[in-house]
Amino acid sequence: MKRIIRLLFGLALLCSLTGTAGSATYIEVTAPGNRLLRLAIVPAQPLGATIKPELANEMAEAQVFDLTMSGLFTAERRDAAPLPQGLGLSVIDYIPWLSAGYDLLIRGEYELRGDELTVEFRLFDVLSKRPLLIKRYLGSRTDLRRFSHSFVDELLATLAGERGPFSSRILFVSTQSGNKEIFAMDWDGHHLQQITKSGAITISPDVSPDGREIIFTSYKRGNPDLYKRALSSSVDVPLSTRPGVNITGAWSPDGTKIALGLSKDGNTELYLINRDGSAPERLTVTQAANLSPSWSPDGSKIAFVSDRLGRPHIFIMDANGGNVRRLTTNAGNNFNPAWSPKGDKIAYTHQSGGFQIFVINTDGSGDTQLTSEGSNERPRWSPDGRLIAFSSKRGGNEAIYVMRADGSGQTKVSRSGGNSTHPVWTPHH
Amino acid sequence: MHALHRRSDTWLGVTLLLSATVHVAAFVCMLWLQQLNPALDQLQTTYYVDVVNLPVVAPQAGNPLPEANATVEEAVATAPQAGPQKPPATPLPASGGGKVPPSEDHGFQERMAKLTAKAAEQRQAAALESLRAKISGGKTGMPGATGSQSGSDYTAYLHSRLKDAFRETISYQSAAPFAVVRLTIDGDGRILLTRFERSSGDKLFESAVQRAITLAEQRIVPPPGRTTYEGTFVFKPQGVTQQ
Repeated sequence: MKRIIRLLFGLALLCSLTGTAGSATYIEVTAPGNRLLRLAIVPAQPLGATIKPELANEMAEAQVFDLTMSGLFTAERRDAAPLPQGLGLSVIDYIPWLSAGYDLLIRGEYELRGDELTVEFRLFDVLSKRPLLIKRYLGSRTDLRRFSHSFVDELLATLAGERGPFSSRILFVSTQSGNKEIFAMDWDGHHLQQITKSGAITISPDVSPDGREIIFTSYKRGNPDLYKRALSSSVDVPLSTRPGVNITGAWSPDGTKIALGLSKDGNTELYLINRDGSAPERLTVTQAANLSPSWSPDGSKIAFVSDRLGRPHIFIMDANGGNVRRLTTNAGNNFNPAWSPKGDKIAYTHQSGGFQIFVINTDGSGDTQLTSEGSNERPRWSPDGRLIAFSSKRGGNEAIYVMRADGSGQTKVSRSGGNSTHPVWTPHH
Repeated sequence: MHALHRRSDTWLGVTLLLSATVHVAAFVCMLWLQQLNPALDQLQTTYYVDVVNLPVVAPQAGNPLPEANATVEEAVATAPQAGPQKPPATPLPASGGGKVPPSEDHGFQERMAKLTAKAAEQRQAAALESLRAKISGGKTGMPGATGSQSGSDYTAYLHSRLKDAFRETISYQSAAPFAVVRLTIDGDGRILLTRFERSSGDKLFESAVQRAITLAEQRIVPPPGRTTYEGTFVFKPQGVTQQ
């Protein structure tokens, strides 16, 4: 009898608890689509006596290009009357922008004294009528595009939670000087700068995680050897000059090791060496060719190319050489793996007739073709994973293109003559 | 001690048995009485009115005012009588009743007219006073409601406003974001507190949610009774299934 009474009491308690839990209701608010934020960019207004509208226009155009390529905004350059008391003291009239349908507004001002340039940009939320981001930059006149890129990077950090890639530069191999040499440019092709002047074939550049050094393979001594160079220097330091090829060097995410392909034993095998070239450690042991290593962002795994099963395919292994598994299973040849900074995808080149760029999840699912026009190779992710740079031959010379990670917005960015290949992004500054 | 427990259990059992017997007897009696007085064969039609989904002019708590700026007098004109009408103290004479002298008849009619007018005036005043008390005392709401709580229809109204605003601001960069947001709205219809109880991890999406709330705030009316309202909303793109 007592048991029955206890059971009844327990049931009553349970019912009351269930009633309490059920009282917390959540109402779903849903909306279709995924709209791009509309952003108006007013060219910066002059602060001092020197008025250079071309400077303001160039900064605004650089920002429009960056924001459009981010894939999150519809950015438009809009002219507006200058603020009589400057950005600091004037009150922004948001109503015209709001009624024109803009979500965000960028206004700026600049002061040019000789070659010294001071720029201030402000991002305003038109709806909440408040500034979201204010940045002031001091430098020289040649820095104005860098200021614009940097502000857009900060804007993305503010609005999307992650800094943009637009302050990064792209290193690439160009035949502009007659030989294959390494060049650097802003991500949008401006500020072209020649890095190596070896007078020989120079290929496969990679940048250290701190952005201060590069490694590359050069034939300047006849053999394809691996060299290192500080970007602030013009001295090439030999890192690996072993017999056979010393190719496709890739810096580990922590900067302490370099993975590369060596053929000192006959076929090309993957090795790890220290950043000074010492202590080679063999990772692969096969009769096939193994090369093009690409580190996972956490440094625990390496993707690479191997033809151990006949055709070249992408494989993944642990960073110590163990636990090898095949990633690509398609028909055709697969090269140039590039692990995304977020670690979830690998971009690669697939050859089946022509060369095209694909992206695949690290578990082998979601194999997706990103390019289809012309011949496209050597994808490399931007530091934030939003963009992919690649080399493309579309009705002319091979050039560097950039697209969004989903394959949209494919845009030629290199402006150098000759062929441009092997792009690689420098890390965030 | 053991015997004592056993005895008390026995008593409890006997009591329950007795109770069951009485209930069964009562049930049998009811059945017998029902046979004596059979239920009416005619079916009584019952109409159910979906009060919540009825279209109303102002959806908050069934506000009887036709417009936000409508006057109390206008509302009185359309308001139903506050309560059952009381019969006049003096019974009205039936028309064409017994004969009455013209002078007496005229005086009687005048007094009756005055009494009727007074009674009507009192009823009108009572109804007006009742309505005034309702509005000033914050007791607008559904019939039968206490008027002090924010009803589910205000939640539905708010949901509608938020949804409209969210359509204008939705933007996201992750695959399937959703955010749980608790809103506190004060008696003036201003959003006192926006608390993200569950973050989507997508800053762009949460910015879109925040902008939708800001946009909706410009259009919402105060909660019924001008009391503080609290509600929890899940924002997500259409078609996304939350985990």
